[in-house]
Amino acid sequence: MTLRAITGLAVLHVFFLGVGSGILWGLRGWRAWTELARLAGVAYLLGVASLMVVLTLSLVVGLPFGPPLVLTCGLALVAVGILLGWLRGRRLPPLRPPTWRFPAPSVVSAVLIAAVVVYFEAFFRSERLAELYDWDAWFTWTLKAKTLFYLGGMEEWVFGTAAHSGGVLTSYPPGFPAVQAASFHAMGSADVVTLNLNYWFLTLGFAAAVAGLLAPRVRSVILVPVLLLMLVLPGLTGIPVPGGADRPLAYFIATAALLIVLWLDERHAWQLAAAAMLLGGAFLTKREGLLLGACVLVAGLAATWGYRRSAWPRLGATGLAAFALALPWRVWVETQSFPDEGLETSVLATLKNVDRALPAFELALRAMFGYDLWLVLPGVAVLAALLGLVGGARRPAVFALVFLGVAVAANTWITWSQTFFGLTLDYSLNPATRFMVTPVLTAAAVTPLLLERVWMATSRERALSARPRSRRSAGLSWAIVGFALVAYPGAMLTGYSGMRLPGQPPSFPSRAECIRAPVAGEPVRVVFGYERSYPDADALRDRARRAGFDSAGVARDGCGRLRVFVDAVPSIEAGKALSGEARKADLAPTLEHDPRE
Amino acid sequence: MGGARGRISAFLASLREWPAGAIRAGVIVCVLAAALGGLARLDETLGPFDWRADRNASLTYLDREYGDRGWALDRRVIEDARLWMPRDAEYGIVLGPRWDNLDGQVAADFLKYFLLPRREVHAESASWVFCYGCDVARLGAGFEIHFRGRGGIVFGQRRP
Repeated sequence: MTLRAITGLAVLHVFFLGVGSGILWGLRGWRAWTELARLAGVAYLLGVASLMVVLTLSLVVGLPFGPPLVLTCGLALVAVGILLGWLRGRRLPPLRPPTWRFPAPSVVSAVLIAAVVVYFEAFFRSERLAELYDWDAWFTWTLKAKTLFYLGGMEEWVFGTAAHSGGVLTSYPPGFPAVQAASFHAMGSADVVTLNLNYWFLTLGFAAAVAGLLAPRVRSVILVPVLLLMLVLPGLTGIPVPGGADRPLAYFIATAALLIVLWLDERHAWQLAAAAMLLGGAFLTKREGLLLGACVLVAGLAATWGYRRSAWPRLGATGLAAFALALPWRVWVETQSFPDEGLETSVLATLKNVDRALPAFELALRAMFGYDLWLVLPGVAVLAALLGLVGGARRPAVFALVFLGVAVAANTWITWSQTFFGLTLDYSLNPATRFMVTPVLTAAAVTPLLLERVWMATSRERALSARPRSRRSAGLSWAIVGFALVAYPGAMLTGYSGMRLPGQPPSFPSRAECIRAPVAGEPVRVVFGYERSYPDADALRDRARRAGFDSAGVARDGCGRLRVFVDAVPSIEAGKALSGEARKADLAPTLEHDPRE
Repeated sequence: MGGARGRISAFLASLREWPAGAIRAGVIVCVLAAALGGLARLDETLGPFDWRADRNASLTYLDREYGDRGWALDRRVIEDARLWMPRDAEYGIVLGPRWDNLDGQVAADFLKYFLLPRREVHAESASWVFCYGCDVARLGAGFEIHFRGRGGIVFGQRRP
């Protein structure tokens, strides 16, 4: 909740970016540092995913979790990336290519970019002091994260079979809890409130990854509107499980899918290698990662049917590599005798519930196309894919259509086979809506590319070239973005009612909020101190009593501590006199308002 | 000006080509739908963001720290237990007939999450015990109650 916690978390995410940049250097390299800036989002997600993979492996082999492990793993990944780059003969690139010009969006795009900027500012504000209240969030993820943070490993009574009471969700992988535990270390405490800002960083990273991958391939007037629509989707902004792992799962899968779609036409090996790393991260985020990763690969296989002899081995290798990254965890799970979590995976049992098939399919379709959840995005994505089929973007179009179809089928199967899920979109009774976060975001990532390819194929344009803009036009565009950057925090500070903002500087709550300043003319307390345990508080109270303060007592302060005090002192002056006496006995009293009188 | 008008005319004329023009018109529809949808929804997105931020700011320190939506059953018991037990303490949970259900299970889960780094162990071997509607007499003659909460929830310590 403090500025120190936020700063620590920001440093950790910069660390993720650094680790991912090392990986990207090994896989792809960059011709200039400006290119790395463009691909920063991809590098960041690669950093998170690769650290999840290596940290999970470390936990499985029993290495103690802590800052030394996180730092060592990160630096080792960077070293591997640098070594790979050296083996491939990469050299230190220049700051920018000779022909590089500072990007200048059109005024229309600038307005939409400004909206994205305000979105992220408001999102940050809404997450900064959010509580972690959802059962799924604290039980499935943060319980494990706190265990790693405090106890340094996969304790049997949380991760294994030795739970003494309550439930267990043992087969959920520890990748995301490891990221949360690293966040606790970076923040300096198990601050489950500031922890929510992880979603802000991840969302920013994902948006930057999509924008960075597509910027040289898609004109901004196509890219930015879809990006904005993706960010404001009610199914994403009002995501039913705050604190869960649906967002990181969706970001990994969607970015991996986009890389594979780009590979369909460009055939750069690094695109598949990066996709494998992201899929590996997805497999270690949630169990559903395997199913969604399979959907991506099936779509890739379908899109490359025409040249399957050359493409399928590569796609197969990508899937195998991703699975291999998650294999240590799968092996560990298989070697444990976990209790049955009630999941039904056998085909025969599924067929027994054939009466649920059609309602489950209808539910999956509603979860995919519900306007209340995803606005017009799925419709736009399907239309873009159909246009792609007839308009010269066949491969990405087949990928998008098959992926969405397989995702609906997978979602149908989940509801159909798991009879304890109700036939409803209520997220507390059925995860159908949450499952669709990933397919919809994947569709959003692929749609701008489809639209651009269709536009290029049906127009006389030969190649996408940035239209040179006048200095005045570029200045106006950046002025619009700059205004958005300062307008939101400015409105918050001044309380501009059009923005519904309160008009005050941001607060950084601490336990000190339970300390009340004395008020003239009102009774006061003489407080001898605050302690974090009854034994310590009792010891301080006994010292106060030995010093003559016979009425010294102990009570909870309302902020998780124990207050040792004498209350009902009639005035500040009387309190000051008592404080003087207390100081003579080596106590350190303070005066506070006594609201009970 | 004339150049701009000419470009627009040429662009509109290109949309009448078949089938390329129709396909391009489809692209324009998609982009417009995304742009209008995104901008129209922005205000409805910022509103809940601001509402959530204001609500979060109005919470107390403990509200935020617990994030409790009734999981704890009686937060005062946990608060007192946290102040009694040292960080390396081992505690047990005993669910009586009244709480041997989903509510009791979730309450036990919440204890595990919230009280870390303190560890849950078998109740028989624990020196600190949470008793959810259990028979306190069965916890032994040396069991000292530190806090008695709502719904028959008790926290205490086994003295040797």
